[in-house]
Amino acid sequence: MYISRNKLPVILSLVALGLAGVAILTARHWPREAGLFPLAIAVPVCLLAIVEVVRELKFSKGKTEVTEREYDPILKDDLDDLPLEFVFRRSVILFSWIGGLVLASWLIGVSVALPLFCCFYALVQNYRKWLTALIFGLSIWVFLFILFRIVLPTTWPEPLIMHLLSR
Amino acid sequence: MLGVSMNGLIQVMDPMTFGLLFLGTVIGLLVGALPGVGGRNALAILLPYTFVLKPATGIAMMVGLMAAVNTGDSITAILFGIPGSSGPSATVMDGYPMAKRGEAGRALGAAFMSSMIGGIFGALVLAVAVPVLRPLVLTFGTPEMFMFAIMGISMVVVISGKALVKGFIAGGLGLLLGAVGTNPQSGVDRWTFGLPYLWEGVPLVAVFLGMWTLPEVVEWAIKGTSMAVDSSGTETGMWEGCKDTFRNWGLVLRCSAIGTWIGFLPGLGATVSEWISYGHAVQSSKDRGRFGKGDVRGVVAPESANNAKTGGSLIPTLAFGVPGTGSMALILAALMVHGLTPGPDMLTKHLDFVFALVWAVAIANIIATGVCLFTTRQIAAIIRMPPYILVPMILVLIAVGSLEVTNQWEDLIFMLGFGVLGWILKLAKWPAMPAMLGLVLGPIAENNLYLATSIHGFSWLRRPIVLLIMVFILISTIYSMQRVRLSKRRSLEHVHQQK
Repeated sequence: MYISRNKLPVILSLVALGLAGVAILTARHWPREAGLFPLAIAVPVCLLAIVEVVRELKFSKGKTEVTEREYDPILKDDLDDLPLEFVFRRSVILFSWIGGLVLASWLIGVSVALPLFCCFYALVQNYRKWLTALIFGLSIWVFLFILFRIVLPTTWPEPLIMHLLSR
Repeated sequence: MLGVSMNGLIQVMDPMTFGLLFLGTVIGLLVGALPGVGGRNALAILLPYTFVLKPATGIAMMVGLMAAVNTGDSITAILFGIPGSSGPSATVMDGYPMAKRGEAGRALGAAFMSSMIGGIFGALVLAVAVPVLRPLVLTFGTPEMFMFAIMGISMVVVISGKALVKGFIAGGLGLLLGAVGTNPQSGVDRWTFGLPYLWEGVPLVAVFLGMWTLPEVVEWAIKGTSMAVDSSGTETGMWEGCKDTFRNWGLVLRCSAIGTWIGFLPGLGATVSEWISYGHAVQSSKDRGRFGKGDVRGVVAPESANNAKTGGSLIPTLAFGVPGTGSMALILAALMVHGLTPGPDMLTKHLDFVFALVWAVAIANIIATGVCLFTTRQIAAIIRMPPYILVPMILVLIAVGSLEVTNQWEDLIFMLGFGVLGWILKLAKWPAMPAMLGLVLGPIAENNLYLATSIHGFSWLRRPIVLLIMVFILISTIYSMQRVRLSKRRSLEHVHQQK
């Protein structure tokens, strides 16, 4: 079910190749002023992506036992030591929380969704007590209120609920 | 001249002016440290309040705010990898790895001290440059601007490390992403999919926060540890960081000069100056292998450049009435409201006012650094907060920051989408920074290329300064690539020997 770490770069190179290809195909139909720059960029990107796909396929076949990636501290990080299944599961959970935050912001508004998010994240994800979570959420609300309502009067987009209520 | 300069200093040291300059500087620091507010927004809010003040007082306050924003920016860039609102900050490349390694105090100390020196350098150049540089600015047209943008883009070679091909591909895709939106020359909608939201291009801040910062937050959350791997040296390294600035004084001065020069050229922005300085730091060092992993020179170089830029960008604003950035346009507006017309009058009738601004820039940088140095212990302690508090707090800042520019729901969707993409890139070991550099510099390069070709045909390619920059880019790129190849070969040989 999970994509192995070796295959991920190949897939990304293929995606880059596809994107550059689509860019070339669409930019050809634009007037010169609009199409020249994207074409000048997309063509070399396309060629480089082909080179990268070939290189990655070579690596994934295991022809080279030692790759610079394995021994380069820039390219290697702590995540490499964690099982991919664990990383994948936690990533899905984290991005679901962030997705929920975006959805809640759209539905009930940023100024309500952000403190609620902090409160529930502490409560559900990190098993904090109700009181701790409430205090945390409340402090975020106070911070946002002081900074974005009193000091810098910022208008955030109108939430869906307000839009429906005003009908 | 000395007498006029002293008059300027007396104007700034007036209790009211100094007090408001101090206030403006502190606001600038807070604004810089908080993603989502933005220096330009804060200046716009401040603008009407300055109308009731004396010109020197009001504009000194605005200049103080602007000068301190870049210093404040470095706090979140180093501690959380969250960039400034102007775009991908080069400070994150080494400052953030230093913080992860437990050297946040040292990185912050180096950033604050080099910011101060850069800022004072910019102010000094402003003091002497206005009458001297006028003929020079006229020799710089769109072809030279295009070449400077290309020079910024060529830094992809430097920041890609050993993943050079991937870096080029990511940089290219970033440039293509920068082309999204209505093409101003032809009116054609490029890859907007019929969405009015994309007419003005992809939201830069949301994309950057999603692609760079969100994956870092996800990583902490997954690992479930505090941000710094080793926090023992967090609070004690501050003075070491300050000393680092003086140990690399040559680099600081050179990067300050680069920052001032880029600031002097309208339309290029802080990102270009930071990346060119960062590239210069890498290319001019003998042991470049440490860059990107937490080398203090990677902090010192961009920080001195971005603060020096303020002094540089005031030159065309005051002398020619050409504001190079949005913030400078607001300063220009304030000048006009106070009845001060930029141009020759500034160098004759209002020279004491110009010197007051020079002093304001220098003093604001000193105040900002002083405030930051005295609070470094408290600031650096943030990274030891438990992830259950830090992760949602940073997610709140990311969400608010994403809404900064267009203030539409789509900003949050873009942040999330690019966050997923950034995470995949991180897992696949693809460098994300070149893509963001391409995204920022692509539109600048394309616009100047179009104007250069429309005005000069292709004869601009024969302009001496263009040729000079072209040769410089070619030599530095080839040199960097050679060094990457060499270091790659050496590390593989080393590994084989160990086996």
